[in-house]
Amino acid sequence: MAVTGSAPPDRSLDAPRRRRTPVLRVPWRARTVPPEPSQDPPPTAPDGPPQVDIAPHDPVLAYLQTHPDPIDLDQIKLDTPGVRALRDAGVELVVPLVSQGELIGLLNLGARLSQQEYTTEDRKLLEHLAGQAAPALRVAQLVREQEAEVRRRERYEQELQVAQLIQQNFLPHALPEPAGWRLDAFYRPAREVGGDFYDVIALPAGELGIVVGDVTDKGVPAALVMASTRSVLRSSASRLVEPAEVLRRVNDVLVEDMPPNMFVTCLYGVLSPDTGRFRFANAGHNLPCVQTADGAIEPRATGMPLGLLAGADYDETDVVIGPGQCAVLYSDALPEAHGPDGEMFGFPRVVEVVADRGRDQHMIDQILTALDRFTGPTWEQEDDITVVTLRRRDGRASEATPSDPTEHATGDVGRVLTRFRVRSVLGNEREAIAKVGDAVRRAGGLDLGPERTAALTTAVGEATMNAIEHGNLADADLFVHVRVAVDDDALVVRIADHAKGGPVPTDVAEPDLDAKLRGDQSPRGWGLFLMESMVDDVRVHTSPERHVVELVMRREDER
Amino acid sequence: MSDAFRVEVAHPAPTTSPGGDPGADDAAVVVVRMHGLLDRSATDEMAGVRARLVGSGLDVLVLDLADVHYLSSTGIALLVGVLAEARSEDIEVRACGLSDHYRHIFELTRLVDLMTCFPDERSAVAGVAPVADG
Repeated sequence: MAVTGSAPPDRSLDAPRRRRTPVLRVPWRARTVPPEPSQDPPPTAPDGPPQVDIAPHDPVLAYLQTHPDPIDLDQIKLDTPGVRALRDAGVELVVPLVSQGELIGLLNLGARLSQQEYTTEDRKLLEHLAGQAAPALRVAQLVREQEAEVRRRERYEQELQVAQLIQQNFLPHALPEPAGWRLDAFYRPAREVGGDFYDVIALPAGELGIVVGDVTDKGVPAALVMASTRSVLRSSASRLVEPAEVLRRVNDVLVEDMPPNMFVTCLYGVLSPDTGRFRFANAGHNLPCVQTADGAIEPRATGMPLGLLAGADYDETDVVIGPGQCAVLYSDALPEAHGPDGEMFGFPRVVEVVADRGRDQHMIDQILTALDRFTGPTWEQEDDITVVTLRRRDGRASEATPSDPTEHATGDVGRVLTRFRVRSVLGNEREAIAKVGDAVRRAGGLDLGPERTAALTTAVGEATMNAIEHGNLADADLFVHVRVAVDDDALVVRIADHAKGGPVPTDVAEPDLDAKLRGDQSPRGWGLFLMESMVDDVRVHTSPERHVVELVMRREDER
Repeated sequence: MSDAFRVEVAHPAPTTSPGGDPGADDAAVVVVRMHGLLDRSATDEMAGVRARLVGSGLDVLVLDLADVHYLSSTGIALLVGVLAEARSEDIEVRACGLSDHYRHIFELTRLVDLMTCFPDERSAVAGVAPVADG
């Protein structure tokens, strides 16, 4: 006798074959989970009985589910494909296998070898057997489903990592710094990496090509399309002058090989640092938001997304970024972020935040702070967030002291992994630890193993604790600002406070453990020493208004 | 898993350990299992541990840090306080359950000079199979 669901044949059912026993393959669990399409049919011995497939919606299954006793096929007064198939296979007696009210398979018996009827005893025995077999078969089915689920999840995690790796590899590690300008980029992937990208391309005559784009779809396919879009853009940008022409060319190349249902929205512009002129074309992407003397505007240029239609045309617009003003390019995830009540952040809010110059904050910070406030603390980021800012310095001396305490006037390179601030309340260093650790792990491809990451976060905890306690005198109205950036050589965490407690001691002697044990020295005083020991370099910048501690982790595999 | 720091004090049954310290069988041993964040928030609990040592007549104090999820410099200072007390009470201190990261910190701060590190509580109580230094 043999039984199959989609589970492996159960040993306990391999009873000696006294009767001809066709195997019936019921698409089991028709009620809930459909059988995995990729699953091979269970093995049957080559000389084994024929398999019978019954479609999940065949009425005979519903009938058998409600009649769990052994039943002669003749007694089933239904004429369905399933019943016919059973009859054709020579089945005379059907024993439903029911576990917890659910039909999970059938035991099918042909004619007895003696050609006599099945006796009441036989039926009792079979019913009993079915009662035993059903739960065992169900367990086997569940195990198989479980295994398939684990495999699916592993595959998913792996793909996630590959997508992250591709993404990280193709985003610039450092942005150029044309004289009189400051370019910044912020990119924060969602857990399931989307297809956001940005790029800055050096062009002849000191001009810069600026790209912000978004591939529809997520994961590895999106990352691959993003990578190829980037290279086509780079090669076109270096050969062509006008942004609209560049997008036209890129579209024509991409349209050939674009996978179905995918396309790329992209804004491409050329910045002339000398004049502040930014001329751009737009393939279905968000418009840039540009500060003006009395607010902010969204200069308009339209065009089809890339990869949809051959021969698409693109508008071109230009705008001048004035001294002291800033242009912001961003991806969908910003306006489309949802608040706790389901409301979207929306374009008007983006414009409002960009226009707001009252804040003593860096523009990217300003945007992220507004976003944080809107979404609330429990928000799970839905999609990649990309923000690129082009700030033209206003040439006045005050510009040398930028407003964000984690910013330096010059020499800032690298990609910002995260920026945030914590209130100066002791214990909040743990929030800093968690956020920095999270940003570093999410970034991927940094060659920073778990040990070095742990060491870095320990140092971040110490530096933040010092900033809260000594720099801001634990004044809850003051913030400690943290910025994590990476370039080709190093990961740098900057922790800035308001220097309320006097200068930071810079020479760090190893604390004298014996003196501490004798009680000759305070048991405290390990913080700076620990910080120095955990990271490759600690740099302290101090001014009357702020302390900035930089923790540097070099990007080598091992020290 | 709660983050709030707490300690749990256990008195292990005397063990006979052929490879252990001579006389280890009848040594008075107490195990302090630490849970949660060993930072400023642990100040009171650690002061309690310290107070317990005074006049206790203990021979060995085992600090089990297996369930400590965060150790800050303040936490190190608190440990130093306990070590100082133990020293003045002539109590041997053993540590166990350290992750590689915390072990590295213990080495940097030279705390390892003051307590022997064991892989787990059992070996720490028995006083055998210390982790090789360095």
